[in-house]
Amino acid sequence: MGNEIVLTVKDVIKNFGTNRVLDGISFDVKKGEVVVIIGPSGTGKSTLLRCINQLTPPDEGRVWLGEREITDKHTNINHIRQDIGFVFQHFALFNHLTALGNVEVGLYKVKKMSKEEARKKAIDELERVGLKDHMEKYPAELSGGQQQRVGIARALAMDPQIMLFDEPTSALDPELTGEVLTVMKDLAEAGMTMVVVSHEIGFARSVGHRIIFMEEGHIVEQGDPEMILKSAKKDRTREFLHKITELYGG
Amino acid sequence: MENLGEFILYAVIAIGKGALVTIIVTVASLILGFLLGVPLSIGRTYGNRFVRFIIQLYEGFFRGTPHIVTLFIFYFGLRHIGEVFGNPSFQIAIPPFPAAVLALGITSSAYQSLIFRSTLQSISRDQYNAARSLGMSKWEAILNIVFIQALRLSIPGLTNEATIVLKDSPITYLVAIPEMLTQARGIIDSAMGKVFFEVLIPVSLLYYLLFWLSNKLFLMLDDRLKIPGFELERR
Repeated sequence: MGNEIVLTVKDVIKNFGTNRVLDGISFDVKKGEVVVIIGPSGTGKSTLLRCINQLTPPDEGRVWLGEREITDKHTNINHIRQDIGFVFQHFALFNHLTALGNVEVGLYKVKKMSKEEARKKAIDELERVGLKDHMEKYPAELSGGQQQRVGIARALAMDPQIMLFDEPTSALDPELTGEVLTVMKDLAEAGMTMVVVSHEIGFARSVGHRIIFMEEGHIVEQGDPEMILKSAKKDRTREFLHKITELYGG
Repeated sequence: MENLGEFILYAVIAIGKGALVTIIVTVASLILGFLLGVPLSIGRTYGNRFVRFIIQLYEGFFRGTPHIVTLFIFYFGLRHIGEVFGNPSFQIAIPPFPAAVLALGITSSAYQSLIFRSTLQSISRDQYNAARSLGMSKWEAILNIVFIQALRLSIPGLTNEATIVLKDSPITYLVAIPEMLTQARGIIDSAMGKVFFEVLIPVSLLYYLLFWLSNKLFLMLDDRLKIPGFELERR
């Protein structure tokens, strides 16, 4: 992990109606760093990820990818999103395209690669997530774990500077969770910068560089996984961790 | 006996020609309805308040007005439009065939817009968001990802719409399009009204045959474009 800052989030506020979902969130992520965001549901973790790539534009606050301000009105958002990989909780694979089609569509429609070039790169990406043999299958013909790996390959194919994971395994059977986490672990080891919203404490401990604990739109506490998991300063963090360790195991 | 043979031959040829015209009017109207219905449905789903309002008026008008009235507006009404503005010499004279296709096609576009809108709305928001997250613009995401899926899901609705336009096509008889009903009427008149049943029963069976064919074609298309696990609930 270097010292170069890839992502900066500053004082982000988001309201849904009268409900303040994010109440001034600030943090930054270094190149190669894996940040795991945990916290009870409904505390704005997913909204925070969506505020980063502007799928949900924040009401206030600013976000930078490297030197480029994402929240600046003059920034071409379609351009900058190519550099931010996003993995969805419910996979969101394009239903009318095969696994291969899902991965290559961004390459030729957005990056304007030739079809052959796009196909070649897409096959490489599917190989990387272990799905080359399934590339002609449609989403409905794949298991949840396979679908999510295609989702990861689709995001990776764009050669992003950072990958955002929105609860990537919470829609999966426990049995299928492992294959997705393995892919994510490999990715982290290859030096990818990642922000992961997840309840997978095991993953946070073994792969994460930092855990951020969020509640009610605030960052309650953050730090090194060992520190947070073993000796969190705040009672609320310990209480929450105790609960999910009971549920999901350490 | 020779006379009867000649008469039957004349009748069969006339009705055959009429069937061909029926097919042409129906297909042309469906294509026009599709070309207009696609942008209408997209505007109605994704447009701003003003665009949505205008399209809603359009849909309401053409779905709420009897097709015969629409046809008369295009054929007769526009010829007399000058009189409305105090300038009788000004007229828009649309020939029968284009007027017929315009009337049926525009009516169909209002219905097709509705078909596409309902399937557009059935596509999960996640599909759009995923497309945007790859860097597609709003319109690229709508066209490349959302609409193409909606179109696939619209085939059953379009199957139905095709048969409706087919069965509306005889109203073009009123502006003398030589389709099946017009031809049938001609045969009946030439026999001085004596062969109503003898002509109308085969004609109605022919309509049924066209209906069956159209359904068959759409079912084949539906089958051909089948995407595993991606379809509307079938019961």
